[in-house]
Amino acid sequence: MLNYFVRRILGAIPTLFVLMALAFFLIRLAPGGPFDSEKVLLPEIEANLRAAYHLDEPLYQQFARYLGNLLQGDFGPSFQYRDLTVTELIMTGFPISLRLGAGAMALAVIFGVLAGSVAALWQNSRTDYTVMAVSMTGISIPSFVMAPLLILVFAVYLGWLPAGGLGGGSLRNMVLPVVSLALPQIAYVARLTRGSLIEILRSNFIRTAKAQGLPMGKILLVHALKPALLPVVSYLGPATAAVITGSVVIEQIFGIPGLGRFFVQGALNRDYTLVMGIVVFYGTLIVVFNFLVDLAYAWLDPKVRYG
Amino acid sequence: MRLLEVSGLKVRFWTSDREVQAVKGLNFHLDTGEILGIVGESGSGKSQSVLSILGLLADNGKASGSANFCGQNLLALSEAGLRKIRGKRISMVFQDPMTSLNPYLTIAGQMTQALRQHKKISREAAQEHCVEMLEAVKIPDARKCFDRYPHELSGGMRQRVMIASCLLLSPDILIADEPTTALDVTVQAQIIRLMQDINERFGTAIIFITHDLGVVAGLCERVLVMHEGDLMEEGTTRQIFYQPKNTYTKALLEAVPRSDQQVMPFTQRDGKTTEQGKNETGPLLGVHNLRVHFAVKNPVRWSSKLLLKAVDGVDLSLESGETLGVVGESGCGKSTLARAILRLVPTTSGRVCLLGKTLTGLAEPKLQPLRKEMTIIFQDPLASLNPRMTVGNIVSEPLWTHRPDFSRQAVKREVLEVLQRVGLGNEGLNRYPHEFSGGQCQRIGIARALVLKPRLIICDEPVSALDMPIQNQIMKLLADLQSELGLSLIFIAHDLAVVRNISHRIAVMYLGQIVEVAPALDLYERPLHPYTSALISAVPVPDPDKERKRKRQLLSGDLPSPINPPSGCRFQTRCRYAEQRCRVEVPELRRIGQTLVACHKAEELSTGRTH
Amino acid sequence: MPGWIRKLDMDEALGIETKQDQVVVRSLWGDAWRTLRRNRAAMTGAMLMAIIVLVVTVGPWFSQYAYDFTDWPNTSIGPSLGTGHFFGTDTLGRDLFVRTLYGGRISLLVGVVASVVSLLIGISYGATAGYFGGRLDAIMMRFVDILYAMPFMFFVILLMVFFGRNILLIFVAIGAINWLDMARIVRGQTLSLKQREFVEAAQAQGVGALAILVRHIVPNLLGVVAVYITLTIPQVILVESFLSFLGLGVQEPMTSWGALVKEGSEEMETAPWMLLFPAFLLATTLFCFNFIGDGMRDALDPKDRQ
Repeated sequence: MLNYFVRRILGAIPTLFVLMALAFFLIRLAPGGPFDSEKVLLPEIEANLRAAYHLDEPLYQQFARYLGNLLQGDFGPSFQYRDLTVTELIMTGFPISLRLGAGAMALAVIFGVLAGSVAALWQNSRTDYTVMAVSMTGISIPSFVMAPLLILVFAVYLGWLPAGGLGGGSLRNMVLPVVSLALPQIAYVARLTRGSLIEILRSNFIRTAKAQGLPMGKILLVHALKPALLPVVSYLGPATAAVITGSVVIEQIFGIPGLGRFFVQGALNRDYTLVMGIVVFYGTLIVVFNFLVDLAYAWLDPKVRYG
Repeated sequence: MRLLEVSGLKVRFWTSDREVQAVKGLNFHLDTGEILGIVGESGSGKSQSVLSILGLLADNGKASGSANFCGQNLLALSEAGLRKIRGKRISMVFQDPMTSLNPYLTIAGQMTQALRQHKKISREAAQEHCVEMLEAVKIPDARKCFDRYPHELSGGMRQRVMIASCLLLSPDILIADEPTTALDVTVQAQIIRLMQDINERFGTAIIFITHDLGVVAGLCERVLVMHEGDLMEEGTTRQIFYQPKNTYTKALLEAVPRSDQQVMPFTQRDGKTTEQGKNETGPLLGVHNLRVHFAVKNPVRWSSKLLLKAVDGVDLSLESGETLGVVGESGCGKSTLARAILRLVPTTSGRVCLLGKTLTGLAEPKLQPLRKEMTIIFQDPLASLNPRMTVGNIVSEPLWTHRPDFSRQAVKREVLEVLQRVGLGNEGLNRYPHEFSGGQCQRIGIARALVLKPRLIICDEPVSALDMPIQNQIMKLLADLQSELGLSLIFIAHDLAVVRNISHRIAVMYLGQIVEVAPALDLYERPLHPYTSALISAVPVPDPDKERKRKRQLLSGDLPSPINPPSGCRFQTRCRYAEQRCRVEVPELRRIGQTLVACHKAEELSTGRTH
Repeated sequence: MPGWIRKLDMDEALGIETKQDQVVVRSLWGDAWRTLRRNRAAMTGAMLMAIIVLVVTVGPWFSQYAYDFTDWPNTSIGPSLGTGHFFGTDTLGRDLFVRTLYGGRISLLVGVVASVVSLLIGISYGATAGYFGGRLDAIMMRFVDILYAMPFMFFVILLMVFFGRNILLIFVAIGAINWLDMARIVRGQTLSLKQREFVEAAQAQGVGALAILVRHIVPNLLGVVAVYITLTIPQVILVESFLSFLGLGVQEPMTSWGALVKEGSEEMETAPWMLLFPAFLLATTLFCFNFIGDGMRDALDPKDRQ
């Protein structure tokens, strides 16, 4: 088990490195610079500014400098918002995105597993077909279609919920964004759970449990649940990535000042450091989360734990 | 006293195509403390009949008729009623111990669940009782085993655990559905002894389902013979074996390969080789000190790699026109040996020589022309054929590779000729493998192996996956081909009875080494190595009187791990004759008469042994 | 032994048939097709899809308007037969019917082309890694693992922003995301195929590696590939719509369903038809492909057969 743990960590490090390198060089190689959108500057002033931001050094040196700073937690200053550092911007935007994302994941796991289990237990019944059809809808209708529709129905026509904005962090403002973000994930998790549970219920060891006289409820809880949930646990990694990506769109539609919004604006304004910072930040988050998920999976599956 | 009375049992299944009648009207009974055997081939309905009694059929199956157990008709009982019976009054052991235990729970977890479902006792009391049961089924170190996970145990141990779980509540009936089919023959012998033990000690009635007539002969008091859902014949064991009335039963008995006698003389067994052999100088195939070691990841310390010594020092020679049988149980390395000879796996050290030329160490381009002299036939007939290629192409492929000079017509001619030879007609050319039966697929595999006119064919368990009557057909075909074409065969099998009829000489392998090589007749009548005699003794003979009178030599313990084999003689951990020398010194293969044997005590034992 | 007559001896003599000598005619594709046909959702999906493709291809010919013609007197009007604007118009007076269908062409085209690109890359990569194994496999899969962990969408967005909204770039970018999944699946399938005995038989004969890949491995991958391609197409369409929604997709006046949905969602309170028509078509297409893909997976997966 320790061996597994160490191998996973060693695997994560090159991933992070490649991530940073890719982002860094991509942005540097792109046409346009951070000062393009401004009014035209005198050449000397521009040269001074470039020197101040170390933009005149050779690329690999800039990269090394950047890595060094990163390790100290410094993402550098933002090019757009002159008074703020990227770190500060991330710290402003992230908590908001975090609430959104965590809420969506929680909904996804709870409702997804519930729905999927119900569908599996009553396989081929009307309930099963309903659950599957609804989850198919969740997957097929993109969030940027679903969100406006939900706003149309719940905010405009029914007036129950606000159409956007943070509203000072009130819960009512969170409902529509979180639900829009969660729907595709609920659908995936439901389908995954259903498929996995159906397969487990067909295994020989479930047959043995039946032959021992155990009632269905006990069989589910004691024998079937853990193995059936393993694929769901594995999916949590990519699910997080999907939620993070989805949040970009959701934040646009609902006008929520989270990291996704900052990212898009940063990209449009060529704010190198901000964009880099967010990419690295999210990337690291995903890598760390995948790592934790791997650990959880190993802990749950005795074949991995005890070799 | 009548324990179970089944009458008019019918089982039907609805598949996507049509309705299948698995059991077409079965009547039988079981008395207290009796051991009843149900035999039949695959598809005979034997498993479905007992599954339906306990209400364990798949969702698309339905049973009708009656199955009276102590006054209740089990087929009419509700699910709640059945649950009170399952595990408590009637228990069931299934075929595959690997998948029948929950890999995510410890043995302790699973067994205590099963026990406390029916009996209200505390967790500690339940655990105690479970450990007692594990000891009763002779699991060594029962308490430690209790806390383990199923994948940490061997097949034989897992099956014992399953049996122990079934006995926890002292059921009246224990149903065993092919419990030993997936196990090695020596482990099978242990499990069968265990069943007899349970029957004597606890008085449990047993229904034992199998396709192996030898097992039935030794274990069961009465026998049912089933075929395609019908009951062909019923009687006491002696009646069935000595005075069969039904034609199917008779045919089945005829077809059974027996390790104790020559039933069908396939080959010349006096060691004569064909004309071709006499013209060769030296053996056709020579294997010298072959070792095949695989590096395995060490789960404990990841810096050091462990070595799995699949083949660890094997010497063999094969003459032209000769058949060498290679037998051994799972994990002995026989399949790896075959693949090493063919260079399908890399060899770690040692030499393989074919027709005087050394194969090991030869680069692939140089090896290629030699590949047409040795071909292989596999165990699973359908899996060894590419499902997306026509039969014609499958058999033509070797010609494409080795005779690119052949024109299309020439290739077609060769293919048709070889298909004729193996007993298939011309229409097969453009059909796909799935359109053929198991036996026919194996013939196609043989055709593919023959088309290049090789000198040597390696047969890796070619008949293990086939039903008995088909086994005989294929064996006959191989024997005929050998004598007509002067082929040499290496015939690998775990079934001694099958090997006996086709081999001139037989080599016995254990844990990657050869322990004995002898002419076929000598091996069975005068085995010199303790493992060989245990192996032969473990094979059940389909003759009730003989089987029950036989003195069985049971091996104790389990197969050691090939990663960490025992010091000295590998067999010493399970050998009843082992002494200090055996633990320290590795025995060499030496000649005693016509036999080569690797045992320090071979001469001693051969004089003092009785059969 | 004389002759090579089929030897059924005792069985033939006794007139007994044994199960294993009866010819069982169950073809792989035939079975799959039968199962698929019975799956009503998949069949409905396939039919709907065919209709949508037909409409998208020939539909615009039935309208008098070009997709970029701005009908100034008739901006933001609802669907009406009188003006010939079957789906209404957008804020610039462009006919929504034609634009929706044109958008459909683009979305479907991107879907299919990018899927085929990711398929070709994925199969070659996955089959090579799976077949050759060892260090090559380890390195190749490490590469895939690293790419997998990237927040890909972000990189694609960066690419789009910095290098312009070129339709070729979109194909490449999207194809670059999806080949990872295909590569992984193909590799897994190759690994299990490699251990099948018919591959060993070919190796024992001395068939070369390339010939084995082409003759034995790839044809047996087709089942898995067919399933995943039908599931990849909707994913790709989704990604393209996503990019268009962010304003990073195809350039004006060309349009796709994603761009139309974006415009529609901005006007949804006053001109809901701008959102509803493209959204409906997009969702339906995705539905259909997902149902077909699911049906194919069920049909080709041997485990689900009784």
